Amino acid sequence: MKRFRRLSEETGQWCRYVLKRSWYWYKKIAESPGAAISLVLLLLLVLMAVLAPAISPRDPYATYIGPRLSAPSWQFPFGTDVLGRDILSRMIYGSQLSLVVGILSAAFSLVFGVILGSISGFYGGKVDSVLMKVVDIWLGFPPLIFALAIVTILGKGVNNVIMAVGISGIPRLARIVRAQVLSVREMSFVEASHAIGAPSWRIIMIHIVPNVLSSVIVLSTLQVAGAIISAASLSFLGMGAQPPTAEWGLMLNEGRAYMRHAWWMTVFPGMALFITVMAVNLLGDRLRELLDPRYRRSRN
Amino acid sequence: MHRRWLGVLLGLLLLLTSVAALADLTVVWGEDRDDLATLDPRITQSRHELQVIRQVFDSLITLDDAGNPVPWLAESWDVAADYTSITFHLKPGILFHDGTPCNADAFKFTYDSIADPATGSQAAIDYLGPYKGTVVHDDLTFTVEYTRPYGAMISGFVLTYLAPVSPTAVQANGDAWFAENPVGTGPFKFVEWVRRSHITLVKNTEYNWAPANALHNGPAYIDTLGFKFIKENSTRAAALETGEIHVGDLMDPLDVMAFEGDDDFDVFLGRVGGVPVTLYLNTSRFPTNDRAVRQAIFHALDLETIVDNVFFGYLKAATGVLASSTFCYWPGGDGYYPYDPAKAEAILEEAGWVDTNGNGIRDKFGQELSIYCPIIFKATLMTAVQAELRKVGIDLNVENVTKARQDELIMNNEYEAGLVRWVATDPSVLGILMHTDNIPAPGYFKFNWQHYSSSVIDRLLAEAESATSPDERCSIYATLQELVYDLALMVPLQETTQTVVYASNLTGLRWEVGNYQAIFYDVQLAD
Amino acid sequence: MLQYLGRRLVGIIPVLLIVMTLAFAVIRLIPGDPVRNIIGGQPVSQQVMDNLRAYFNLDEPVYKQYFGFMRNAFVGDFGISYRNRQPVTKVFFQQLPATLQLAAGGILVGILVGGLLGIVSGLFPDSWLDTSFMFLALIGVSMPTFYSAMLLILVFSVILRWIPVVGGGFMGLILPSISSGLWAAGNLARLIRSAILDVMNEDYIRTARAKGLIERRVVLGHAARNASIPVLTLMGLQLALFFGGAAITETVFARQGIGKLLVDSVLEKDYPIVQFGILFTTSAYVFINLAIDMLYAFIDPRIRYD
Repeated sequence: MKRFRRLSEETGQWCRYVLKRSWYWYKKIAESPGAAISLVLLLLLVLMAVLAPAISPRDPYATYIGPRLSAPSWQFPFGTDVLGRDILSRMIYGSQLSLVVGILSAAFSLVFGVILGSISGFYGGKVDSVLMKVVDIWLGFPPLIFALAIVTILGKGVNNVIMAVGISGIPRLARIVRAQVLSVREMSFVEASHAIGAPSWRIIMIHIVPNVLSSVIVLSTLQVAGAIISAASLSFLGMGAQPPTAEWGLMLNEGRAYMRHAWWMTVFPGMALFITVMAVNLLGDRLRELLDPRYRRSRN
Repeated sequence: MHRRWLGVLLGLLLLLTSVAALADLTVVWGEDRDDLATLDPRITQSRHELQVIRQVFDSLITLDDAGNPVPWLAESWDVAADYTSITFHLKPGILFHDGTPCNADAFKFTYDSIADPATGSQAAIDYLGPYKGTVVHDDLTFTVEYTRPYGAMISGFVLTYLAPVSPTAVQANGDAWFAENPVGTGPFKFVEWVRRSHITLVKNTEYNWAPANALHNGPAYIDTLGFKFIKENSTRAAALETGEIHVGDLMDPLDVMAFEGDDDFDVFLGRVGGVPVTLYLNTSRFPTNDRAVRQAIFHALDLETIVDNVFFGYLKAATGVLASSTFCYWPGGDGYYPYDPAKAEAILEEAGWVDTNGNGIRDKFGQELSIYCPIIFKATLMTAVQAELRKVGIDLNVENVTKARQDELIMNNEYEAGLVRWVATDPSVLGILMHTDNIPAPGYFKFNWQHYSSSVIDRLLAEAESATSPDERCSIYATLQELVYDLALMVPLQETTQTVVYASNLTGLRWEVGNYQAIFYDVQLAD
Repeated sequence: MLQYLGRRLVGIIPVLLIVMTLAFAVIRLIPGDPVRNIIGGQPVSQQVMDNLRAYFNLDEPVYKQYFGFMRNAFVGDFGISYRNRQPVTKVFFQQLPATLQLAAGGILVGILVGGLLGIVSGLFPDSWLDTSFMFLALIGVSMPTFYSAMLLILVFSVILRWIPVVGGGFMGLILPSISSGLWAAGNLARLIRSAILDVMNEDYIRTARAKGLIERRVVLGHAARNASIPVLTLMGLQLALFFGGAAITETVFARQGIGKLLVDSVLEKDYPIVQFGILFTTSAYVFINLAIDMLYAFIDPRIRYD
């Protein structure tokens, strides 16, 4: 019992701490009006994805719940598609896939990009030059086509799309992380640890990772924006989400044939995609302002 | 300095983008595919390729609007009484575009090379039938012989697939060269083919061997005929409006509707013969090996409403294994399995398909009633079909795949359903889709995608092929069609319809009977 | 300088060798018999299969195939496209003019629009012009290409009917150039703005401005030098991306181009084309990078390679 109380106290303390820090960061971020708006938008987006079943006015998969291709009206605020499905509901559900795929594939690129970049930057020499040659070649291949090739070989499905988009995002991150690691490595405390014979992994974990963390946070935010677009592009080319899935890129693809007659089939899902990416980019910009030392210096 | 650079840049841009000067009278056909592979009639199986090939090559015979054979390159022909050979008498003076004469030897060369597996013929070889050889009697007379009676021979010779190719051109340059530099006898000569962009033909000024049903003889009226590849439906429609193309192929029904109300444009709808867009069901795999499942799919689909909704009334629901305009169409398919979702559910319940886990999909023996259905076209139609089947507890798992992937799945038997359509004028097309020999296998790409092997069907097909009177053929094919319905091997969905929109100042456009491909020979363009 | 160039060129050789080895491996790593992939399931005799195997040198031991591939590659022979049975290089280079046109158009849009937005914003920081221009730049970097492409068609071709959708020629290049140049324009605007701000914040400029001695032209001159390196890097990256083809732009505007060719070849498993695509795009990237590095030295005398 006592133990439990202590545990709950600790948990409470921890929660308070997290809340306090979050509030602090929220206030810092929100000092810029653009970033404040982006935070609100992103919060709304997450709520939309989580609460989709509760808030979407209709079943996104039900056909002919309205007349086909009806223009936006009170009944169907964003109109209906050629199968009489409600576009607003499909858009709300579409946020789920975009967010999940965007965040997970960015995380995928991040993990491997950081590993690759730190190894390369930390060890230097032959390891570095070989790894960077590989990364260069990787960078040289068009990312969309690369992702497409992976999906063609592995097959479609959400997991493979996440992996494909994730893999094609690795080299860019690896390169930037390497540059960061290189500059941190030159710093005196790292050299000192080396001198007293600390093991490499310890130096990487204790000194290098925290020091490159801020730029990694910025990068990963921007990577989420890129990943959302890449995943939607795959769907747009027919190699991502499959009908009847409600996904923004796929909705745009389906609407393309009716563009001349039903603009609402493309304009609204595209708008959702665009606003999401813009909000993530705005947040990334603000985080860069706050975290990136080089950026801060030039702004003083 | 800066300004000069800008000037140079702009100049460069203009230079790069300048188009070649256009000839005086040009008609451009907007084509919805951009991945044409060959222009050799002996090899092609694609209607998109054939649309071009049809203008460059001539056939021995053609069909008039009533469907009767009339002379073209052949002045006359005699079919042997036992249907084992046919003798043709050619018009004199026919020349290939390379100036060499189109004589009996040229036909022998063409047919021998089609029959040679090394040529890789994909369709012509089927229409050539049980080919034994060609006997040349003199320059203008030859006989095509068959190994057994072949009642459908005329329907093969009216097709562009069996058009003569220039032996000189093929022998001098090889098949690969010929595939992209076709040399025929037709009213238009090949000029250039820029892959994925366009094909240009010019009129053959020597031409004076037009078919009997053409509107004129002598060279074509227009000087240049272009084919521009524009995959997007909406882009093709826009290009028509701006006059960038004069004829748009396979227009979206919604666009057809808009153009119908426009005086500057005319609309042509051709109900194409052959096998309609059909959902075939793989009888060798779970769960479509269950006849109850296959029959339930029929009862669950209100095809008339679905097709009407998706295609705005411009396309028709299919009512038979053969399209209604095809010779020997059996009308009994209409209403064979009436729309009745309650009945569909009853059939499934009776066969033991119940939703035990409450996910909305029926199951049996612990396996879901889920049908994997890879497709390469008609995505919207299939989404509608999918939604209807879900209502009776069937999960149609539709995936849009590439042609390469589809072929791989088919050869490895890794699918339960899919879509097929076949443009043809003759019911013999059923053999391609039904014969036991045509069951695909790894490395063997054939079209019995139902994987249904039946000695009864094979026998009916053989009997129909050697039947000598049209009535006898049709009664055999009627039996066959009824059998296919009874077994519920395939669910015909929608009749293939050629939806063409063209500028109304364009006159003389004619259409091939059966497959409704455009013929540009008589076309004139008013100002 | 020349020495450095020589060293860099020598350094590129191993990279190209790795790329070629990778490209060689692609066809062998794909599951399935390559000959089966080539004929795509056409029923053919064993003889035809053997002929094809010999034709594509697939009947030799792998190391021999590898050296054969390398030898042929050095004389510019990259094999035959599975689908068209035409030399890969011919199929590929037929698409190059369209890609170059779009690249020129897209980069021009990027420079003109991005330059204008960036310079104005930089010279009048925190003005309403700055705010609205930076918002435009944000739109540029956040707009998915297929969305901007479709909106442009909707507005200019469908509603206003000003610009034909497909038309070849200059008019047909306008919308695709805008759509594919937006991202570069947005990025460029942001880069140029921050470069100008950096210069304005430097002490000597501040002093000079305080004394009223400085003209905008001088600021711009300094900024130009400061901004040139990131701008060049960005433009190089953008150009390399264009060489890989703007698949989405090409798809929406029904254009030809390398991007669409590569997408179709990947989907239709035309591996020789994909192989050459890997080689072409990565070499383009490597050489563009080299060219950019050399340009640095010309632009900024402080950078010296020795």
